[in-house]
Amino acid sequence: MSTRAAEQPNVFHRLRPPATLNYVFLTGAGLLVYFLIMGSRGNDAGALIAILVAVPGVLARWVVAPALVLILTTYLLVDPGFMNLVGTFTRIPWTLPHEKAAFALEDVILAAALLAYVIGHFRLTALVHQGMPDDPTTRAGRDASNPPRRPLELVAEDELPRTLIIGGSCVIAGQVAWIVLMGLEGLGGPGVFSPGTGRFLLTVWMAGLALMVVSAALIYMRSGQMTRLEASLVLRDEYFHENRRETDRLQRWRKWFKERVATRRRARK
Amino acid sequence: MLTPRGWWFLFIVLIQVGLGALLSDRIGSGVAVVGLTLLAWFLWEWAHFAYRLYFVAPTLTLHRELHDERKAVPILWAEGEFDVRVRVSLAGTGDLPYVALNDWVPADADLVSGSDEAVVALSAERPAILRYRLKCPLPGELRFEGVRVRIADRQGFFYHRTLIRDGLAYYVLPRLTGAEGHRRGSKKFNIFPPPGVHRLRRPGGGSELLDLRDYIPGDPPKMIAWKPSARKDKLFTKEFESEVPVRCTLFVDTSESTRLGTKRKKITRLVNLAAGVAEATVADRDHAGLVVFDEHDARVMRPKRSRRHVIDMLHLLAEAAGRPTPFGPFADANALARLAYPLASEFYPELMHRKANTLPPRMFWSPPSDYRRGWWVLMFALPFLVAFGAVIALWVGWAIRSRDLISLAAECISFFLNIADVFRVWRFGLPWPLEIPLRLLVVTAPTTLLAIILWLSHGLSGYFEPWRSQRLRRKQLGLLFATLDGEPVGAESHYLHDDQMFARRAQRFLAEHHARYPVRLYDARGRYLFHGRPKLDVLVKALNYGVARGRDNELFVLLVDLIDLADDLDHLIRAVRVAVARHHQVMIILPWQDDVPDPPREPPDEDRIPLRKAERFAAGGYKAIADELSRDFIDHFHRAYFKIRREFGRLGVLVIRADSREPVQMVLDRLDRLRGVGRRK
Repeated sequence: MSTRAAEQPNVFHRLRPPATLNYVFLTGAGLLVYFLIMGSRGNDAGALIAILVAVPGVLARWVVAPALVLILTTYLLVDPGFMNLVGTFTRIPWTLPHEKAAFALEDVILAAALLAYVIGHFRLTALVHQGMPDDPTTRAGRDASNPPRRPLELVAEDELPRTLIIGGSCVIAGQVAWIVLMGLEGLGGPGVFSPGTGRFLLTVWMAGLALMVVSAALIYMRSGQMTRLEASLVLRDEYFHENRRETDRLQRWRKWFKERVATRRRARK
Repeated sequence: MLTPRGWWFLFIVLIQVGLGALLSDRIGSGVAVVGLTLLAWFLWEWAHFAYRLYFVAPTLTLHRELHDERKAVPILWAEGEFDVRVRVSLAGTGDLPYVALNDWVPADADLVSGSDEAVVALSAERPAILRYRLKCPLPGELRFEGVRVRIADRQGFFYHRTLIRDGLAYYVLPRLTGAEGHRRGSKKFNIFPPPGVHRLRRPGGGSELLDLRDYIPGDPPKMIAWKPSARKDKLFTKEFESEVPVRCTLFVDTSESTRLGTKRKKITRLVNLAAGVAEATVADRDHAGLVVFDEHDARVMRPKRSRRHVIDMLHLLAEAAGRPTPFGPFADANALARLAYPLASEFYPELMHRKANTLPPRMFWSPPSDYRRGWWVLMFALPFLVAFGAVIALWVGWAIRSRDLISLAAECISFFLNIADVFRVWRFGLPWPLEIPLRLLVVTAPTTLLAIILWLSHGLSGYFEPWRSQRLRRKQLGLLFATLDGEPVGAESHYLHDDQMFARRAQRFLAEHHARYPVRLYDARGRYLFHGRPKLDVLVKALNYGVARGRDNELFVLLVDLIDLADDLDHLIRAVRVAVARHHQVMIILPWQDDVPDPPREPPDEDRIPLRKAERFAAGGYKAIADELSRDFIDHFHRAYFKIRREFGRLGVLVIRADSREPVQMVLDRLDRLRGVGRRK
């Protein structure tokens, strides 16, 4: 394996090679832009907290850090600058006006910054800490405390440019999806639901549809790649579950008969 | 496919998307756009990984070569080192950016240097090559199961494990000891004997003088040694050495008793000995034959002396050494399932995956009606069933105007209502069609509740350990075995319910993959299960066959585990007697158990009265009992050994032990000595 317990350098050494340094810059840039955008919305303190969570998250293998940052960002976008939270205690609620258009450049930049941070964080985690889950094996001699990492040599030269292109496309796709969603909502005219609920239902429907399409495609692909043995096993499995109770009963009688025969044989002896 | 990291990320992003959409009217589109962007990226990565998994990964191919110092080899030698080169490549288009490869090194081999694992990025142009050096200490068979492949994406969101199956098996031949080192001492003056001419210290028609003996009337005059006769004034006859090559036939026992134990030392020792003796015999231009036998049949190789013949013999010996550990008549199905399950998950990840080999929760429900406890449930539920059966019968009787049915039902109901009165069940004051069922329900409630508790507790027990794991393993393994064997549909249920059937198949599975498994040595009455008496019949047949087709000067070396059969040697003794009567020589080599000390010089006393055994056990506890059992076992072993020596010693057959310190050379020396003992008339 590329990683040996005795040769493990510390995390700062692992972040120095160019392969990881690219992702360090990507993560840093993402966090910087994030800080600026959130700051422009009156979320300086909140963004600072998010960065204070995100940076040690990269260094200390906090897989939960991106989740915390996303949750915190969601909260900060709902309650900028913790005004409402402070207002709950001071009994002077503060609310800031929000932009309600389907397209806002700030939102797009924020999404891009967060995506850059998320990609950078997870790729750095895979390179520096752990790339794939622990998979217990029956073989002895595996070092469980030294999980497999993605070796730096495997980082291709065109990996970062490709990632940026894909990330940019995803930002555009996310924005387009939202505009389409708003457009769909507008097509239906005033309905029984409030605009937020209507959008929520549409989003759930769209996300569910997307997941269903992906899942169906995966199932189809999996079925297409099945070997004869796998297909046979799947059919057997289906038969087993359909006839389980019946076969259980038959087996019970079989067992009873075998015991009876054995008893008779013993009696004969 | 999704790792916990992936699931968490997806969950958070979906929450964000939903929340963003729900609150978008108040807070704007920021949260929703961020969520949708992250979701789009996640779905892209998912689709990309799925493409790689379902279209790129199936084109993975494996090529394995085993090399010695010079070239690729199809066979291996015990105690030799060899290089393994494994090339994993993609046959189609696409790439796998993050793959962990791990070659499944056979358990019987030791990794000397190099690494059997690597983390690589694979593409058609960039294959991965694993190189490492192995040492195989024991003869037998080395099976390479394949390369374990773990595929992940760059973020660690998706993960898949599979095995590129190889299944290549290489015979590991017993070590060639170097024939020069084993040349017999009697050949020291004749370094290059002509083929077929062997110096045998036995009177024969050769040209080398062996000895002088007294003249016996009838000896040809040309054989008289005139000079010594003149010196001693007495006629002497010259005896010449035999020039007939010695034909040595080795009978190697590969029965179940020799294949027991974790290291299978008995069969290994016998095979190594046989290989060494055969090689040295052929190096001396003698003929060596081989009979490999077990409880069922024997495989015979007639004596020859070519190099090819030696290699064939070594092949046969390696095949014999590679036979699996015996199964035995009894086995613990659950213990075997615990061993076989992780192995099956490693070797057949697709067939053991829960998407194919499913485990729905309802499968673990353990219905009481399948067991005798069901009668208890029924017994407690009986009052409820009778009471409400009576109510239904009353309605039916009223509907069909059957007075008998109505009166019978009324009797039953009144019985229960009387009980309600006795226990002063509260009256609800409802109209009678409601009042009566309600009072009946209250009266029968305690027993019904008990029945429900019993039913639930029994049914739910299947969801708790250890029953859950047991059922899970048995179901998945049963389905796997039935699929691998191509059995008729429904055969898997046998594996789930029939312990012995499952145990036997699980043992076979473990044996096929060269994994160790426990074998029960004794039955419930403490009787040893691997006596192997039938092997004696097979051996006797093979020996008689050898004797019937033998020529002069045959040497039969029986490498047999006879210790447990010391009381059943009559047939074998008769066969050996026939061989000896036909002027052949027989030698017996017994494999000695490592944990048994050397026998004393003299046989132990026949009657040893154990004194104060009960007191010793009481004072020493389990350790004293274990010591006593061990002492008894060793004593029994030594007695059996001396008995075998005594029985065969009467026929002039040498019985020796082959223990861990007994090198081939020592056996050959003994063989030489045995050859040197010429029979003089």
